[in-house]
Amino acid sequence: MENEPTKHRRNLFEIDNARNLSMQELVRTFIPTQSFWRLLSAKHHVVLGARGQGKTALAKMLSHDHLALLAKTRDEPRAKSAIRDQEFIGIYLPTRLEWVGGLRNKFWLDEREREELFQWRLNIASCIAFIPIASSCIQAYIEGKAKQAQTERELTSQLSKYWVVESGFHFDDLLQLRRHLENTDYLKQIQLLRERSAGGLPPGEMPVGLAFGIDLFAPLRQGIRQLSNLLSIKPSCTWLLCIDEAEFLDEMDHRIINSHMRAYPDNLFFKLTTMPYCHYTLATNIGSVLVNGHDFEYVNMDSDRVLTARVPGETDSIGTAFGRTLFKKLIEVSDARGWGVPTVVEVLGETEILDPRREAWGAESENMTLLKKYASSETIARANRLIGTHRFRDEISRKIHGALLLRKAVDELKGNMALTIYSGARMAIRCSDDNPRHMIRIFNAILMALTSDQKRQMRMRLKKSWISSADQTRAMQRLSASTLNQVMPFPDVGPELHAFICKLGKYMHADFHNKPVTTDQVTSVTIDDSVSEKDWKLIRVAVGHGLLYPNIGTGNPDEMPWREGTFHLAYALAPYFLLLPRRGKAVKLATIHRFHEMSQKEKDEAMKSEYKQVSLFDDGDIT
Amino acid sequence: MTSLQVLDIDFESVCENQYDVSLFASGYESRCIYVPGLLNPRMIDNPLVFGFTEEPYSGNRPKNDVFYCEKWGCKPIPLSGDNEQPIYDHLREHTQTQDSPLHILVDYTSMSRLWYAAVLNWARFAVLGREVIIDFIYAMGRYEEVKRPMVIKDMVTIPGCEGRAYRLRESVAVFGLGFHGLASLCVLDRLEADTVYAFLASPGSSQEYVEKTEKTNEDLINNYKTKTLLKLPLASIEACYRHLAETIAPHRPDGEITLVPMGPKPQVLASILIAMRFPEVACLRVSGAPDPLDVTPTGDIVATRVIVRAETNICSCPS
Repeated sequence: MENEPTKHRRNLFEIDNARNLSMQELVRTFIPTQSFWRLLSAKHHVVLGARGQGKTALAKMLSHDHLALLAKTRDEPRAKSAIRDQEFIGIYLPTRLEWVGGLRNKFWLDEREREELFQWRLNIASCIAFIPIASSCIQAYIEGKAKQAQTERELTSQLSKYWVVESGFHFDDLLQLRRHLENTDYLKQIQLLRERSAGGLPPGEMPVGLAFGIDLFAPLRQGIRQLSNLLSIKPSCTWLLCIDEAEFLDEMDHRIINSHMRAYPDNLFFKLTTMPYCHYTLATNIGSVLVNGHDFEYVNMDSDRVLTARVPGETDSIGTAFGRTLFKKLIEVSDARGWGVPTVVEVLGETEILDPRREAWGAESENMTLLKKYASSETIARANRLIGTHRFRDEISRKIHGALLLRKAVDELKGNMALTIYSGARMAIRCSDDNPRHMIRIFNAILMALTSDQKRQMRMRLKKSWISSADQTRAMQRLSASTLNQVMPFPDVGPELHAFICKLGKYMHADFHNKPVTTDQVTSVTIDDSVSEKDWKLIRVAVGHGLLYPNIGTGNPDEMPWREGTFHLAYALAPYFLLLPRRGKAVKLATIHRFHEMSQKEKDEAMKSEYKQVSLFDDGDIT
Repeated sequence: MTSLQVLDIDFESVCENQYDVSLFASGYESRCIYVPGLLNPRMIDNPLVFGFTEEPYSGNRPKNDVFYCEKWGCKPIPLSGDNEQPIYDHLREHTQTQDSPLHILVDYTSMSRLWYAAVLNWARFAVLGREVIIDFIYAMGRYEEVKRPMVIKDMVTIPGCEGRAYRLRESVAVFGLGFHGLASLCVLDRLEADTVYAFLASPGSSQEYVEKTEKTNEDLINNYKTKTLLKLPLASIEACYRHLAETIAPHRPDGEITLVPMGPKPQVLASILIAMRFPEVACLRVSGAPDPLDVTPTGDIVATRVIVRAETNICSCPS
């Protein structure tokens, strides 16, 4: 892997999903998080993360082949011991839209038939997923190519006895067996359709794949037993079945998997990844309810400290260490011949409104002029009191400087002038909301703005900040608008969710750009138990898609708030609504609803300014 | 094994042909009676008309129902766009006593894709050892301005087009582009494909629609994952079928290929035929909430002959 020729490398800035990375690419770019190490344990886990948060990367990295490569090529002692000592063997099982589509299009099946089909398909899918892991284990625990080949043949033969009860088949290796199982799944689909279209199957025709029509995961357990016997895997080994993208499954499917978590106390543990609020039920089929903390644990990826950790020596966590490391890894592994390895700050430059710096705040300074122009009288008075003291920086300048610059930039925007404020490394990282996929999309959107001349300059390292602030801001605003617009066709709630997010964003925009500036801007919304069912549903979907983020306390970071709490608008939407992407104060959702019910005159009154009155959103849009 | 042959034909030859069964649909679009208005009822032994149970009183629906009663002597059989069982039942009832090749006419101008996919599935699986010749007819349309973006109701594979959802190599999505660009982007986001192809109808029913489709789908067309934009003639399903087969060829048999036809029905039909031809290819049905906009006929007709020969029971074949 280390000698992977450059010509075979892909531009990883164009691959924003771990699902589409090769094993080598994923292992080389993977940044182990707290959540990842937590999952290496003999417990059932339900992993919660917004879309793009890295759930698939986590689930794939737990699988034995990926973990073995991580152990071999990176200095990760925990991974090394897990592989060397046979502590954990993970299997990656995706339940993607296409796979689920083959279940949900059988609308004619009754509940019992649907449940049987789900179990049948999960059985065969888990066996298909087991096969590459069996190969990986053979390579890891059997010495010598000849012995490995012999073991594989033996395992293939044993597995075929259990998994292929129909006669007339012979398989030389695991790949052939895998292809047969894939074909069996396809034939099952066809057989069900034949039965429906022809009004029944011909007399004597047996159901396809009889071996998988038994208890859930019984064929997989049989496979694990065979492999363990052949390779003398330690009895203490914990097997992890990582079921990815469970948000695509139905409530009934979750109930079936829950039942399994509750009822089988052996060495097979489940790691179910899904979006927040998309573990649809705690019910089981065995009369008892799954208990969080006892039968399983939630792992909330969104509150992972590795994602939010600050760069050593910096005063805040806006340009996270994770973001900078990810950029570096993508550059290193991508086809970036001649680039050297520039840092994200070298490529994108600094961020005027977010970078910590010591600004001039003298009486005649531009900053003080801005403060006097835009700040509230209370803030100005406090600034005058504190000026010259060390508290001025902590309590005034650090908190208000970016807001003043943003207000000025938007105020002065006229005609064809280009906004430049949403640019720089810290801005790019901040507006990704610590979401790796969004971060890669932002990096890619900005890098695509590079002209060929800029690319040449970059290769030659002629200067830093190759992409202009205006180009970066344009790319960020385009991506921000696209993030919002893509909500519109969302199943079930699209237009309502779009309108809801616009309502929040427009309120925050109005509050920021029309009221006198203070040291704390509105960026969050609070709800309590009085929240309507409709709004609560929209908030849940928004959290799942990374449009809102719950402010989660450090006491119980894995628990998602239920019908009460504070949620901040995704920083990804800040360039669209022209907001400052910093954590600020919250207002009640009811206040925002009331604001939007007001007449224009009442809105103007509500936003009463000491220095000007402006109409809100006369043209119906912001940008 | 099942073989599928796809041929473009003239509408004149359709008018001269004698059919065992025909399937028509009654919905809210005014164009749904255009083709039945041109055909001679004497040339069809068993005409069947299915009427959507969704939006049963919208637009031109009452008028269309009256037309079918008067010209074809058929009262539309109520059927949901999400169900196809009665189509199988009626086809069985009207064709079971014959031995010669079956001739079926399907006017899919205003049909649910589940319905015309069912006719193909029936020919593939329920009629063994006998040739089924299906003539598919489509009346091109002029659309009312789309005012609301599509809100996705469901995304499921079309029965018989499930593909093999266990990939060994890359995942490929092939989007047929229509007037709902945001919906296509939403599906792309969920499919998470690493290679994307897009195709649109060009020449289409008008140059205006070609431009509109390109504009509406600008983001998907310019997406860095989109390798090629294919312009395929709306009037030739044979050409569309061939080009799609050539496009996906480099990714077969190990790539996970999903077709997402969001554009005009002839291209949906071509996509369904591709997925039925290649077991590793899936075809997704993205349905939206009903939006009863009228579509009037332009007068142009797309006629396609699909010849299906199902020789053996494929479930008994070793892989």
